[in-house]
Amino acid sequence: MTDERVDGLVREAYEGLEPSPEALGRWLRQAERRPRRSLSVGWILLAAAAVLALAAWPLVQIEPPRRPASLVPAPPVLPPEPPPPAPAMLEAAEAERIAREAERDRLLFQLRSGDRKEQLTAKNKLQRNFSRDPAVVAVLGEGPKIAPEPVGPRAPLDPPNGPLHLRGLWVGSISGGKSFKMTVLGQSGDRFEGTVELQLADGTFTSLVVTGTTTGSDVAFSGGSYAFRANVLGHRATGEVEAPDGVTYHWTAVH
Amino acid sequence: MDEPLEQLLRRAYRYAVALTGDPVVAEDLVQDAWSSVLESNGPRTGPYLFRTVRNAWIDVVRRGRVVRFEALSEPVPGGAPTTGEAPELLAALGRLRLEEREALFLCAVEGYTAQEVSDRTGQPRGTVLSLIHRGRVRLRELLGMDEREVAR
Repeated sequence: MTDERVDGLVREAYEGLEPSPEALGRWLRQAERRPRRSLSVGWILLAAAAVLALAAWPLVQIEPPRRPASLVPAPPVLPPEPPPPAPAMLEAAEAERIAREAERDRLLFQLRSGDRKEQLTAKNKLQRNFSRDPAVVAVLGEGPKIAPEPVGPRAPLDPPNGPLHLRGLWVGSISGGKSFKMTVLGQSGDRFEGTVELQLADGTFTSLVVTGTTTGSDVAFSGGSYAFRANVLGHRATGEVEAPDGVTYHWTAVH
Repeated sequence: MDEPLEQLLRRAYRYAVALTGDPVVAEDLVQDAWSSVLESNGPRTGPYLFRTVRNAWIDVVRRGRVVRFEALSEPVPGGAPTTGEAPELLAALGRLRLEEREALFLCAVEGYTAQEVSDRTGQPRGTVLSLIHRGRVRLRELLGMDEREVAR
């Protein structure tokens, strides 16, 4: 009630205010000089045409002028586009990508902090599997250098002034295209023992337990009625074997 | 149907008076705002013109072109182009704070609700209600009315 009365007074005060006739006339003349810009029929038609063109845009196909049929080459048969990957495929691809990145990071860490063997392994794997990865290229381009394999004269198998060191695997062949393999399991001084696997003339294999001796560069060992003699030069052994039937075959092997 | 221009300009002028508290400054303010509306080819509607008037007044205050002053208790001789029959009321209104005067004008004269005043002035609705209430109380005090007088 009271507020309404106050509001009435305020209304009465402001509604009694009038701008000066000069000002009001000036404002009205300003408005006359700048007529309200209304939408003309032309603008409306133009807008409608634009809307229709936008709506029909997907339907519009611009075809090139057709040439005579004889000149028109057969359209190339394009393979159908692969369907868009399904969400499951996307997830699998994403999982594979994450796994690859994890493997790459593991190899990079191994390359940085592993021992020499691990570094070499990591480097080989990185070069083989991640050669196009920018991170790998950056690391391998300026990464830690792996100490090269010490290259030098291979230690002689038989030290000078001592018995031949035969321990290990010898692999070779016997004349006639048969295979020969000897494993020296133990050696003590000039005596040694091991096993020999021979491929016989009929293609079967026989396994022998052999014992032998070394004299200088010569080696003689026997087992299972087979007698072997050989001369060892470095890592190569060349000699003969006498079979139980008295036939002698030539054999050669490398350590 | 658009509001007649003459009526629209009168309303804008009254709003400008409510903002500035000075009829002469209000004419200049409406002149600036009206020129701006015409140049930008804006809509010749009440809300748009009121907003333009308000922005023009903010610009004026920011640029310091008008030093805000306390309204005179007596109307300036010849200052008001055409005053109504309530000079005391206008003087009392001039003593209100600008925010109170604007809120009271929009509510009492333009008939806006508190929410509409809030939308137009950017003040929270609660603040608008508070401004209107304080404006009414202050106006009542300035006019020397007590509730019985007002009720009568």
